[in-house]
Amino acid sequence: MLSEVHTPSPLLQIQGLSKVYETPHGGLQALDGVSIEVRKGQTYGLIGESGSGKTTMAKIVSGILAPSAGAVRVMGEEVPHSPRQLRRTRYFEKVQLVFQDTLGTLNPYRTIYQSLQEPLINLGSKDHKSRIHRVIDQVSFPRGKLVSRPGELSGGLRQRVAIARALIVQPCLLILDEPVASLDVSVQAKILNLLQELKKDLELTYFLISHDIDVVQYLSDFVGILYKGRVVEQGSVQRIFSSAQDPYSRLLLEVHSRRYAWAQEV
Amino acid sequence: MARPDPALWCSNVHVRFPDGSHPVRGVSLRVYPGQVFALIGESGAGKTLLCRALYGLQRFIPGMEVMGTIGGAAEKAMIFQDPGQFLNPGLSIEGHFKEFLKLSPRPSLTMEQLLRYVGLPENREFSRKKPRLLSGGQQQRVMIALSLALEPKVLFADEAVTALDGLTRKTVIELLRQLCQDFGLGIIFVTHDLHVADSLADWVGVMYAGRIVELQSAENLFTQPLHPYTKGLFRSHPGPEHRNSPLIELPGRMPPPDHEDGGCPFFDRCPERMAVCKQHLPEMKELSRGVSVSCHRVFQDRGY
Amino acid sequence: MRRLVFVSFLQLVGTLFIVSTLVFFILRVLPGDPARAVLGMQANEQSVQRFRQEFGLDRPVVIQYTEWISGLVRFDFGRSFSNRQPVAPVLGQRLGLTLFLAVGGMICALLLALPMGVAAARKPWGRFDTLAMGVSHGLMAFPEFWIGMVGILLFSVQLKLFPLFGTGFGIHLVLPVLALGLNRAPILFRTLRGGLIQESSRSYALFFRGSGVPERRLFWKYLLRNQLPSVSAVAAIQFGYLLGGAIIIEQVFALPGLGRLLMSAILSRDLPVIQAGVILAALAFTLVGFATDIITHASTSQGMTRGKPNG
Ligand SMILES: Nc1ncnc2c1ncn2[C@@H]1O[C@H](COP(=O)(O)OP(=O)(O)O)[C@@H](O)[C@H]1O
Ligand code: SF4
Ligand SMILES: [Mg+2]
Repeated sequence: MLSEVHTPSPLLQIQGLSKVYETPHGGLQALDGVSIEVRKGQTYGLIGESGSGKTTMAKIVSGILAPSAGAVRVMGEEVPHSPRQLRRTRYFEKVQLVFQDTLGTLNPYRTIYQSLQEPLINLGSKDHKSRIHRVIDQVSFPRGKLVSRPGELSGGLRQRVAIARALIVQPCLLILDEPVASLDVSVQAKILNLLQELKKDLELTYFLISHDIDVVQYLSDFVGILYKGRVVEQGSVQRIFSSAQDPYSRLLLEVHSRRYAWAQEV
Repeated sequence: MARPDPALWCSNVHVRFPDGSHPVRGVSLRVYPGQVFALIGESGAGKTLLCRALYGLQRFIPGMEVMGTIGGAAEKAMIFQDPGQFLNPGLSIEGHFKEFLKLSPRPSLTMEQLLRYVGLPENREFSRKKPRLLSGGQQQRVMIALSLALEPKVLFADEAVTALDGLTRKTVIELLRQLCQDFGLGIIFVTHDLHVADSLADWVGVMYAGRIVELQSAENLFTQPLHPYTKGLFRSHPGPEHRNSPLIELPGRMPPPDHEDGGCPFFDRCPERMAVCKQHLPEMKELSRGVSVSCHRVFQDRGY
Repeated sequence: MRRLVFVSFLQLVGTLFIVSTLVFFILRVLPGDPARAVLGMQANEQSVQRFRQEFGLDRPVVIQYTEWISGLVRFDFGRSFSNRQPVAPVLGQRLGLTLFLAVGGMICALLLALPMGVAAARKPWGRFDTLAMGVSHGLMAFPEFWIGMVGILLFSVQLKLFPLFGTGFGIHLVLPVLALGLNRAPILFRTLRGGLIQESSRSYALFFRGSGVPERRLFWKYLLRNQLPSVSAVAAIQFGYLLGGAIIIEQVFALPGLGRLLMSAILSRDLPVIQAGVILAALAFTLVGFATDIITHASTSQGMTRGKPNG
């Protein structure tokens, strides 16, 4: 498109990405020629049901899984394909992943402080304490609970820790894989607001992956709909939610529509 | 017009545990044949325990003590979230049906009919499978079919579609509505998901800290919520209206299941609280037919 | 699965080869002359020489070793030094009794452990369970030979219910089998009880109970069935101990089993019998180990993975 010639190159660029898993019953195409661009300071929300390839996507973009074909670039640099390259290129300083299952990704035997310190040790940075305090203040995690272990925290606080741990290396891109799934509505609201504030304050870019249409609509500027490994439709959030074209996206959005107009005086 | 007898009713039901927790505190409700009663509320509100108490599962749950009056049809069945956990991993689908058809007082349906009804394949290849080989949606359908084998008048569903994705979820919800129509089944449906309640329920009870604080028809509840907690839930739920404004958060947290009864349990978090709320627990009042709420502010505004 | 069986078989052959080599050379290195031990110190030089020639003891050790190994491949264990009969048939006969004791003990232990485990798990820390746990704790503290001796004193000497001696597979074997069974039942009981209590707290048990499945059927038909793989794995390990226990109990009850044959063979330095006995023991233990592996493999690949309990 002509108009795009002059815009700066995207922060995250995914081109013709495919992934085939080898299984005993032959190849399984998890992703099939996906192309996505996310500009700095924007949120791209990828909607997909389970089995559509969301987690594969998150893994490839965060560099822990190698694609079968295609390329992922962050700020023009190709994403590494193996844990070793990942360490060498210090990719994790640019891109961090926030998972849904915080209980599963935080070490249950370490205190929150220790968990937050880990990435700083890897980084070889000094001044741990002030950096940790700054980041937990940013996510409104109480300092008094730094000595707790993950199991002693509520789901909402654990999610704050997960976000803090991602932010502590000062990345420019966060991959949010179902960041509020399994949280209660009132807790979810706090995390969603937090994510919005952080994005503004720290000039972050989000690549959001979720099955929750409300959450995607709330956070995203651009939306893509993933179906059986393909992005069947993408566009601005306004366009997708007002006039989706693809039959699958229309079905998905229609199924999600509300029977009653909920009272939400804002 | 006289209403039919409720398929399930209860009055002033309490659930207690020996450790001092008191997760259900005086709940009364009615579920009518052919209708879905949704219990909504955030986790820890006591929805699951209320549901299990109404079913009579306390015999199988160590320490669980139930008080109050529970009545209605004796023919009950239940389905759960995560049906993979609730099916016997070592037993085939067919094995499950054999057992459940044996339990039915007068089995009039066959496994094939039940499988067909819930939209599953009727062939042996399918019925010989172990539960883990089925998708989540299929497992939930198997569970629904198994409960139907018991020919219930009331179906208890605890987060029965929570683990399912949008499209599958929709088809299971439609199946449940179909059951209501075809069998005149009363369904009590526990969910923390407002969307599910919106698309399925005829009546909704909102649970908070062990009590139902508001009970209305689904249409009224979603369009004109009365209780400040219900309103808070809607305001903090993301939706099309929130595109460019932050969600309005509910401060604080729900009191734990062993909290002391005093004033209104929502007092600390309530934007509409008044002096009286701190001292006096608001009782549940029926404001008009089918509209009950427990909130001093609502009582004041409406002149009660 | 096929891979597992194949690897197991290779391991088996390897183990047997190493064991037979080790036992052969260790026995040759030990001081003492088997010919003198068999013929007695008074035997003259001539008969000793004849004995050595007859059994090839005068030839180099390496030749003896290759002959012994090549015999093994044909299931030829050589001839006994003391009665000059082939070892294999005698061994087979004696093994029969020992296996009978071990298998009998296992059956006895299972017959005790299964119903008791189910009964105990139906009401954890109820009256029966508390009692059964206490008794099993006590039983575990006593070795099988002690149980056997008490049994002899009580039932044979005092009550005269069972004969002290007998031949073949008769009633005199009841007490030794019972002693072995009582010794092994507690561990099986405890495994089953623990497994059943856990299984009974799984969500599907709540679903089945709530739908009206009677407790009895729930336990015997569903919970127990899902626990069988883990119980079988434990039982297979216990069988190894039972074989050892059988050899000891033979001494207590003076039964002509493998244990006693080996004992007298060791005393008289009857090398072929000792060698064969050790190989047999190694074979038995390796086979039991494989049975355990295969059962465990089969049960885990069957999707009997643990779920979280309800709640
Ligand atoms: N077996 C138990 N013993 C003591 N407390 C329990 C037990 N089961 C549940 N509770 C408590 O009761 C409260 C309500 O639980 P539940 O009914 O599961 O809530 P909901 O289904 O609304 O999320 C929870 O805070 C929980 O900790
Ligand atoms: S009773 Fe008072 S504190 Fe409780 S919800 Fe109503 S207004 Fe708020
Ligand atoms: Mg619940």
